[in-house]
Amino acid sequence: MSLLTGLPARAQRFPPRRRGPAFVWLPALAVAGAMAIPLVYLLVRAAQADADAWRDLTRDSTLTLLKNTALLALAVTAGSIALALPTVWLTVRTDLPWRRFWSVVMVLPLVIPSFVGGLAFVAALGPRGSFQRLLEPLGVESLPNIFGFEGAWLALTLFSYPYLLLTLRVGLRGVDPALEEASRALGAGPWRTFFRVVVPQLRVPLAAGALLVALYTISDFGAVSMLRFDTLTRAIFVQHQSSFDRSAAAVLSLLLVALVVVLLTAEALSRSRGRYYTSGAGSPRPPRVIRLGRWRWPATAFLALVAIAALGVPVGVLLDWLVRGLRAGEPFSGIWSAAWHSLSVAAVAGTVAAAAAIPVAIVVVRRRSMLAALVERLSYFGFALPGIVVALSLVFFSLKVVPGLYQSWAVLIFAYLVLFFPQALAGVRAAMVRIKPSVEEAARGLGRSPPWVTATITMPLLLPGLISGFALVFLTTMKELPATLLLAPIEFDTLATKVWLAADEAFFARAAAPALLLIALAAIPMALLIGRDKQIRD
Amino acid sequence: MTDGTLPAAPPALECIGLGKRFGSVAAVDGFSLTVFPGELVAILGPSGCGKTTALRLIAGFETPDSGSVRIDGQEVVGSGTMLAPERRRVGMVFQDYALFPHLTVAANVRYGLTATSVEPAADDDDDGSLGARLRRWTRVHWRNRPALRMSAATAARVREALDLVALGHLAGRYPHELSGGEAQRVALARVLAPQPALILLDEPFSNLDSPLRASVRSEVRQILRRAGAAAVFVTHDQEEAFSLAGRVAVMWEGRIEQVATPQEIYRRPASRALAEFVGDADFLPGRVEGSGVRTEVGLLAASSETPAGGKVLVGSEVEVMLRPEMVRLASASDEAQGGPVAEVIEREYYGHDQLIAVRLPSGRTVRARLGPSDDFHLGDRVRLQVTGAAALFPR
Repeated sequence: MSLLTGLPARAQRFPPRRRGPAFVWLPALAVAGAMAIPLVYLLVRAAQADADAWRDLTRDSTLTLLKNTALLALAVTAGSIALALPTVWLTVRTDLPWRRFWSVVMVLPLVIPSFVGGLAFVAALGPRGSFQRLLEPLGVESLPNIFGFEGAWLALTLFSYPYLLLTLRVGLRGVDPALEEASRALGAGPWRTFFRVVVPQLRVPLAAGALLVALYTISDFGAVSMLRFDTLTRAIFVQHQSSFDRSAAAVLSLLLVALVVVLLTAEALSRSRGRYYTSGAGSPRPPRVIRLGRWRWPATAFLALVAIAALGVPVGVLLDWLVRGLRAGEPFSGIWSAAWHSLSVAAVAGTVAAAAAIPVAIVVVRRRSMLAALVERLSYFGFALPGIVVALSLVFFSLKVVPGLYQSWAVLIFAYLVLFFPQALAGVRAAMVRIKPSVEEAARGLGRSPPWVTATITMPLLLPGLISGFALVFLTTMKELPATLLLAPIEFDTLATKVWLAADEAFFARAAAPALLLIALAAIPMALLIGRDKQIRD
Repeated sequence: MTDGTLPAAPPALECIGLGKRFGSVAAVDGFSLTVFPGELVAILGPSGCGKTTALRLIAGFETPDSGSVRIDGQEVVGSGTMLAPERRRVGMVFQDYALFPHLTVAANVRYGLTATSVEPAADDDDDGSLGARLRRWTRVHWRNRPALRMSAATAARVREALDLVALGHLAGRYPHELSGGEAQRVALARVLAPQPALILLDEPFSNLDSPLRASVRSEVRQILRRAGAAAVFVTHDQEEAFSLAGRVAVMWEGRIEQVATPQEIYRRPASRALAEFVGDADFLPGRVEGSGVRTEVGLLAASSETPAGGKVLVGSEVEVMLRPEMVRLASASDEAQGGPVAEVIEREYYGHDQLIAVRLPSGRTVRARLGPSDDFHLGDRVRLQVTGAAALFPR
């Protein structure tokens, strides 16, 4: 599993069957229980909604929203497969020039938040945009309309295909080269071997990666808002902002959760039938490198095109607007305090998530019981919940149950924790699986009590996982928009909210500086993660 | 320890009737074993017989369903007692060595040292009053604090333990920089440093390549002997158990079938199944007569007791165990030898010896272990001679 995808690992477990000490169990149960609060409270709130709100569910406009969201998820997933599959194959299996360079560059669009990407496309291709200005001397009067389905599809595909790329890379490296050799020895050519032997082997990682992209798409709020395509997340936000009765937003959120359940079920079904994903036991040989010959230039052109569209265009356009803003004397008021806010909430969220992941990882990896399985399930709740749904539920929850905390730091950090805890857990869990139980037993055999063993043996060995988990949560918290918009204390602006406010009023020049700064800051944890990810490094 | 008198010191280990079930499977059942100070005992058994579980019950990593364990005279498991592993004074060497990967060799060895293990405490009087008990409790726990400060005594103990395993020069290395044999010795030094009452070793040689195994084996025996520690090790390898241990406990399906010296177990195994597990064995039917046992290959010397302890009555029908070493072969033309004539049907030549299978007139097969220079071929007609006393099993 790659640390960057944050996918729940389905790793082997160790057999010892014990209850384990309370100093591990109690925090683990507390963390897992907290993860369930948003969904449970959303159900409570929706149940209290009056009949009108429920009648809204069957209205044509609601069905259109549902159809839009589902279609967009489908189209973005298909587009991501079309980009990720050839990219993975080229960078893992062929003699493509500068393979390692492309391996890193093709993952980099992950640093661009979807709302910044969406904004960049509007600023580039929209009316008065950079491209139009560029093409005006050539006599081009207007560009095709960027707003709506096509724009949202293009932006989301370009910024979410790296998730699929990462899962497929792990999968392709796991395919036993002997299978391909067997296919070649039986007389199948390289193309036939790839589509009949390799691709079927990739079914499980393909389904897992497709699930990630689809979840990302239906959860996305930033890109669809910038590109003005009506999906459920956008409608929920509008309902929440505009009406006094927020029940309608709660009911729409429930619809979105239902869509998530459908996606999760589809992925689970595809997995249970896909039995033949095996990575060869023993020490696998490196696979044969496929010579591209003349094809290396079209292949390089393809990767370069994707990289320019997903990285070059957004950054270039934002720079263009930054320069325009500077010329027009655009003030950069408050950008440094916003940057400081972004960094500090991200650091706090990362630290809390990594710390909370320790007891949960210990319980999930080391204990085998119904309760441990429950803790694991609950911990991955936030993985599938859209940010806007969690935020909305916490708005209700903090207003009704703990009024003093509404629009406070605590609730904001808690929302990040619910949303991104699975990513921290994935990193810590991967490190935990690598710690042999006998090492901890040896420490106890040498006369050390369980808390002492945890502090001197388990914790130091978990450190790499903690750092990865922290970096990943830090990165995603910086990029987060909807929960920050709904839950941040008044007057507390982050880079994300600054970009949002400026873009909402189409002040592209004012949005460019915080957007670029956000990308630059997000690149720091990203560099750390890429440096640690063996799949990319080697 | 065979003369029946108990030594003055209490046994290093005393297990009585240990039982452990996993679901419906009895992993360990009625396990009783006594180990005396300074003794090296092997628990030998096929994989899955429960020997590792038995070791983990003794170390405290599993809780038994029944039975008791005493270590150095102190009950650690029994009715109402269940001492945590860290309070048992038992050192365990794991199959994978379980060295702490983030600590150097010296820090690994130091990990188990406490103030007590470095400089033993004087026994203090305990008048049973609450105050005295509280003082004692505090003192014990204070003395059991980890040796955090690298005192001179701690450093000396670490050096001593590393010298014992001849690895003083590797003190600053990390575990991943060690060879398999070195890692094994560091694991040993680590458990020896706090001077435990008992050392347990779980399949200690299974992670080593076979050429290395023999040399590491004799090293480990010397180290344990020098340290004077009582040790129990678990293995599925008969040769390993026999060559290393003073006594061997053979375990079968969760139970101990026989505890005896290697020689006794090889020559007089407690059952047919054990006989085949601890070496090559062939069985012939026989009838007990006054002067021995009559079989197809002649009248053989035999004890009047079965290895299991039963009396053998004259005239009874028995199974006679023949080890290949007891069988000699001579050319059939050698009339002076006597004995029945058989045909060579298989030959496995190993170098230091060879194993030859012959078919008797009755169709039964018997194997003979011969020296490297004997030259028999498939189809040769040979005469059999059996030397030594055969073990008998009731039929």
